[in-house]
Amino acid sequence: MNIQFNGAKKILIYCLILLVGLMSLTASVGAAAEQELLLYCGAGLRQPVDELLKSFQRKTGLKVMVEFAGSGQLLARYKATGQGDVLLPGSHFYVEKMAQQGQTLWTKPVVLHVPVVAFPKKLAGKIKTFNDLSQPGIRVGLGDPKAMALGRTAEEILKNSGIRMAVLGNVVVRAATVKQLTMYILEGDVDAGIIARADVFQNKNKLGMIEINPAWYKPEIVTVAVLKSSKQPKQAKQLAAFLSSPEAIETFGRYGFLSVE
Amino acid sequence: MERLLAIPLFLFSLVVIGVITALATQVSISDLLAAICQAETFFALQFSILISCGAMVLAVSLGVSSAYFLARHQFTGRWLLDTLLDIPLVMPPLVAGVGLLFLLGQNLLGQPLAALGIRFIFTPLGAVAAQTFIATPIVIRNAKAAFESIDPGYEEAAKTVGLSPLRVFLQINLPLAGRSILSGIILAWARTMGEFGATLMVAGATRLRTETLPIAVYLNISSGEMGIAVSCALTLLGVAFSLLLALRLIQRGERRGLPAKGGQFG
Repeated sequence: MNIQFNGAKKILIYCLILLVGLMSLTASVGAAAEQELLLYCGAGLRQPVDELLKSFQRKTGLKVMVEFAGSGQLLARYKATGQGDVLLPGSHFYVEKMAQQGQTLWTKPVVLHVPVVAFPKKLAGKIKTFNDLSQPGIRVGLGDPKAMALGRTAEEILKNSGIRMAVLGNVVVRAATVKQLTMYILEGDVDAGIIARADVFQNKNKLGMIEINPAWYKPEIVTVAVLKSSKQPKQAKQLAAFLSSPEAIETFGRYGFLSVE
Repeated sequence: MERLLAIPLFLFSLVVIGVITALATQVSISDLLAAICQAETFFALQFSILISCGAMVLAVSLGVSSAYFLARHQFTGRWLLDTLLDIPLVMPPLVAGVGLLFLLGQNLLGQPLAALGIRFIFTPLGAVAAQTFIATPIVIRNAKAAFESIDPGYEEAAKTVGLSPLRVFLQINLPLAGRSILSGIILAWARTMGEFGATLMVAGATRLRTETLPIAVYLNISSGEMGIAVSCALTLLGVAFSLLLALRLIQRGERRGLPAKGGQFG
């Protein structure tokens, strides 16, 4: 085949390609507008929520699109877009913040997100009690206190433990997300860190944990909220109610979350 | 007819300007100034420039010599090596970061390196390493194309008058390829200034210690402080824009002197 393009034809072809590009763009926007619920979900809740959504979709036939991210980031995204139906962050702190701004229609506590001291099992001898975090030479990893829910809780725990300064002296890194911190502990790049009980459950074979005195912190309560921006509040409420149902709490339990009672 | 091509150019430029304006209108001038004067933003700015400069020094020294070797030597498996060097370009930076974390962490090289007093994980050196990993392939691509495009006649002539291979490289090939290499450096530098994923994984996100501007942006978005986040982002854009502009000006100056040509990838 021998085709020769002159200048005009080339430009025509170019414009066609551009047109196809624009069309696919509008098509994808159209698809998103379909009746789908948008759930903003804390990244740390991914596994149980994935499982629960499958069950929800099977039962109701409703489609749910999930955005997983750090809770603060979810809020920022919601504020920027003003869209979404249900919010399920790793902490009630964010739901309260939204409620204060009149952005929620309905809220309910789901499960407790409990912090523990986690350590790599191969270094089990090094850390036996919470106070070992202050031992000289121990490398501690913590979450950023502003960016990460568990970073803030860790700060509270340290304040009430009475060994804050000694532990802070051992902090070699701050992480932006709990999964990043978990990875550092798994790799043995830090000797210990304060992460969620659920993250230890996810890596049972490799991580050991020490429970933290419950008097030292207010547990994060995973809380579900129906957002004011929802265009289908009835279905959104259905999803939110399902995510806080006994079935959901049982599922969360299998992933290391504790029930609120 | 060719003028029609200006339409997509115009449209895309409009989108770029739109994005920057949308960001800029999120904060007032006073908020912006307040955020820039904050110790954290100032640290992040300094740290970003320092780390990216360090990474570029390494990337250029590694990249240009590698490219020269690749362009001048035929050997078995060259095509394979060539493709291998492209891998970091297609790797999501977060994956590159996790890979570097595994490689330089406690389980592999961490302990032997620590014995030598070298620590990459959670240190500024780690940030340099991460950014070098991202930047070097871009430098190699551009420099290799530049060296390959040089007429071998110059080199032959230089050799016949008795110049050593090192002097051929330094006095003939390097100046001839200079402009295209500089293009590669501009692209690579821009990438390192905005680099986030790899740096985050290897160096961590410790405020006022391993916090680059993109990490500052991320941390502040995560804590819902959009004002500071956007201010950091605008600072980053401003600095990057000035750096790129300065390099382009140098490049234009050089262009008047040399007619070298070469490809660009990045």
